[in-house]
Amino acid sequence: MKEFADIIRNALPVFKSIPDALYYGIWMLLVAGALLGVVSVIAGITSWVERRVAGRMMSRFGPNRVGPQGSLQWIADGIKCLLKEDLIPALADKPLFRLAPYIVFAGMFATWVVFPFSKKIIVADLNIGILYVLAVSSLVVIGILMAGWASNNKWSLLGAMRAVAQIVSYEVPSVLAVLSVVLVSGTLSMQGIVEHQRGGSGVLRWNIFHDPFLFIAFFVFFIAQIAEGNRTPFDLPEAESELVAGYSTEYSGMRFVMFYFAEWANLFVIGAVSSTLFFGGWEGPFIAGIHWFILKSCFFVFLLMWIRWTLPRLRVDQLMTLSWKYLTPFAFVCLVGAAAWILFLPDRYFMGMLK
Amino acid sequence: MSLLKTETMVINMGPQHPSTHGVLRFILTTDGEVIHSAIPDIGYLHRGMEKIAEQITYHQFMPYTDRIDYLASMNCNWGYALTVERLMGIEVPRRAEFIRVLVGELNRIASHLIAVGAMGSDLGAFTPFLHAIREREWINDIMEMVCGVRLTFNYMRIGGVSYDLPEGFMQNLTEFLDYFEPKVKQFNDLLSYNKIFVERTSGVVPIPAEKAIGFSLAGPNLRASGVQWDLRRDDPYSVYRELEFEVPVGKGEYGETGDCLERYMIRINEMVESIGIIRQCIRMMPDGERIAKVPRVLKPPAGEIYARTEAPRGELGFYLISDGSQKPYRLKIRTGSFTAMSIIPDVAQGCLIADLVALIGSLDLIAPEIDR
Amino acid sequence: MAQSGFINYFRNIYEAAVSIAKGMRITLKTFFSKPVTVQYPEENPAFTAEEFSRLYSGPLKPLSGRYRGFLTVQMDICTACEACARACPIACIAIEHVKGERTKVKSRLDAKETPKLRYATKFDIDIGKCMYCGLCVEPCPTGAIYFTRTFEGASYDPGELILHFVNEEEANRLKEIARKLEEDTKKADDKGAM
Repeated sequence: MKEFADIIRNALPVFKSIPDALYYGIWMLLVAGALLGVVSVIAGITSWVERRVAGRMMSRFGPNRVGPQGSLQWIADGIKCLLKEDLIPALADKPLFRLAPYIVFAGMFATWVVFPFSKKIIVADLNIGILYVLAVSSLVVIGILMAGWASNNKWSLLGAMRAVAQIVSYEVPSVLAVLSVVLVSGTLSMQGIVEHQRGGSGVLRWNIFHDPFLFIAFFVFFIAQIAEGNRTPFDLPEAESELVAGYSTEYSGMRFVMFYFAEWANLFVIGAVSSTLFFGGWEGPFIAGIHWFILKSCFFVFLLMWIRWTLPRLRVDQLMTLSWKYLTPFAFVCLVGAAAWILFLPDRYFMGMLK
Repeated sequence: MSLLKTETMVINMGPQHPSTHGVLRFILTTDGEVIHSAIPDIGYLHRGMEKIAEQITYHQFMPYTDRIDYLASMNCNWGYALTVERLMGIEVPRRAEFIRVLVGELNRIASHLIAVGAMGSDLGAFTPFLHAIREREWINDIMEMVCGVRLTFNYMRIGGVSYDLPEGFMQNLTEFLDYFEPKVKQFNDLLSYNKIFVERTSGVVPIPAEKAIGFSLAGPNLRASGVQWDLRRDDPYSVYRELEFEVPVGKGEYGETGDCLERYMIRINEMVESIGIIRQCIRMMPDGERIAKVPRVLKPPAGEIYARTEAPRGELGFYLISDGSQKPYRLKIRTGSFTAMSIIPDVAQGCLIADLVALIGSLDLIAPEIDR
Repeated sequence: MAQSGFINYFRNIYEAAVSIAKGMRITLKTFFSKPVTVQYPEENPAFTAEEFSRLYSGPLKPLSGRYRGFLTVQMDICTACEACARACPIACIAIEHVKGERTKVKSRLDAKETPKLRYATKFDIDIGKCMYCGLCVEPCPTGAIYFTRTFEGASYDPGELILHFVNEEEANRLKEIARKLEEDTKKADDKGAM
């Protein structure tokens, strides 16, 4: 986005008289505001799509009364939640209680900064791109633990502790799988990873087809990201139809919706990161551009919803077994295998068959 | 280690919780995730049904029996009608008996659909529950064709049934059975053989046969523990002697005998058996009266009787004491869910909270049966 | 033992993948098939079968012929015998009667004719209390009380849920006739006594 800022500054000389820090500061605020708007709309629309998809998978319609095909349902729900009473339990830890939903949202929102929507459209092309994404998305752990602790409720605390154990355990295979991709691409920057996958008529150079180890690494990464996003089959912390709503039990109104906003927007984040790392980002056959990025991310969002509405949930010890005994060894194998592959077969793609 | 003080938490799994089994309450004492004790607290749905029975006549009590177990209304009606008929020595016409078996087995399918769907939904699989309800809607339509309502049927009368089968009923029923048989297989693929579901329920809280008999479990819960006991075969009533059917008994093929997955699979297999029984009834349906000649004002001879039937949730028994007047002196109802609930404090020690949820789902409790 | 543990490990992964794939295929098939929902109020089950099948195409059926909706009474063939009020387990039917002219009424269901001597001056059914069991419909000698297909009766006032089948002027008229009849019989008795 800095290029756009510079273009505008050069075009209109009146902006040159404003000091640098002020100009770029205002520009950053504007871009952040626009991004917040985009993220909120995507989160709302994802909630509507989820309800429609869930309905169709259960042989029923989803919401189809408010607006054409029910597409304004999320606006109606948002307004309803804004008008609700702001309940804070009497013995709750008030500052932490108020702060927790925003930390969860911030941890998810900050990852949007480095998404390569297309060759020119990226908010900030950090040269530590993917490392930044993994680091910042771990902030949600703090938010969840704050929510569980500050609610002064045994159920919430149980749910929060389960959530922390789950997210922290699944970081390990997630990061290892990403490391395999970084090894192969040679760069941490998100645009750099996409650049590495360019060519090959738009499909053959994708990382997932690069070698069998990266193929397995994709599945390890995807399953680990489902667990990070607290989606079924790993949604023990939140949608416990066994007990109550886990760490968000005591929340009502807009604070409650914040947690779920973060979850729905996180679906798109998982889609975006998966498509950038493994599926070529904005690259695609014929014309490359932002439409391929959006299409691939939406496909992953649908895949996540499809998985959610089919599978039952795992118990907490089975969840841990899956992470430590199944995903982490596979992730290590993928890392070592990818390193060996690029050592012995450098500069090749599509399972080492093409140069 | 003695410096580390740990406490057990007392958690209330309260009457309001997002489960489909009604208002049940458990007071759990847990150490982290492991349960030390689970004490049930019943009475939230007590309506004084047995006391009401002492105030109204025998005919008038029939709609109340619907509400003992509203998911298996026909079987509850049947149990009560059977009790009074045995006490009075009324002989039910053959056509009425066959109609009773037909609707009773159809209701068994409907009840088991809800049971298996609710168990899946407790474990997080929401879609199979909705699929089960979709199949059950057709059964509701068939029942509506016969008696006019979709849930609390009040269809049976003392001495027979209240309406004869209408035109087009047999055709609709055969269509349903042909549609439903492959759907069971589809349901199995979606939920029963799913690895995550199997991991959650296989080997979880196995109930040994002696304990099951000791706690008076009955119905699918008892058969899952390996005990060969089915009232339709071992203490037959109505025309079950003339019908051929298998009784699924747990053998431990899916894990251990008597675990949650076994109880679940017994219900699925019983649904398939019921389809066979209904087909036999359609073939063997005789002509005749739909109800015997029963006086408008019933005055049974003084005496007492206990009669039991195989309801979908276990053994449904009615103990009736009559003093010769129009109204019963005492009516006691023995339900399958009551004994199933009483076994939970015994077997739930040492399992995780998530396992307790699977256990409650697999025992197929329903609150109105427990509290009446 | 270690060997079987190793094989078990990969068998677990294989079984999980296969069963999850099977389950997901079923959900996808359901996703692309038509939903079975009846979109009330546009597709109302209370419509007739032809109209319902015009609007809704799916496996569910509209209300059957025997559907037990709200109760209704045809007062002209009601003989005020109070069999329905006695049969009701929760006493939600309230009837008061007076004597009137002797006639014969035809049953609604068959060709039977029943003598009618009594006329109801109050016939109230509390639909809010009624449990739609049908025990009142069976003993009626003329079939005057029967179920309709109405099920939409939500109201803001519980008083609206009590259905009155005899309005006040009709009740007054019948009481007037009954009073006159009694006077006539008394006069005839007095004349006979003299």
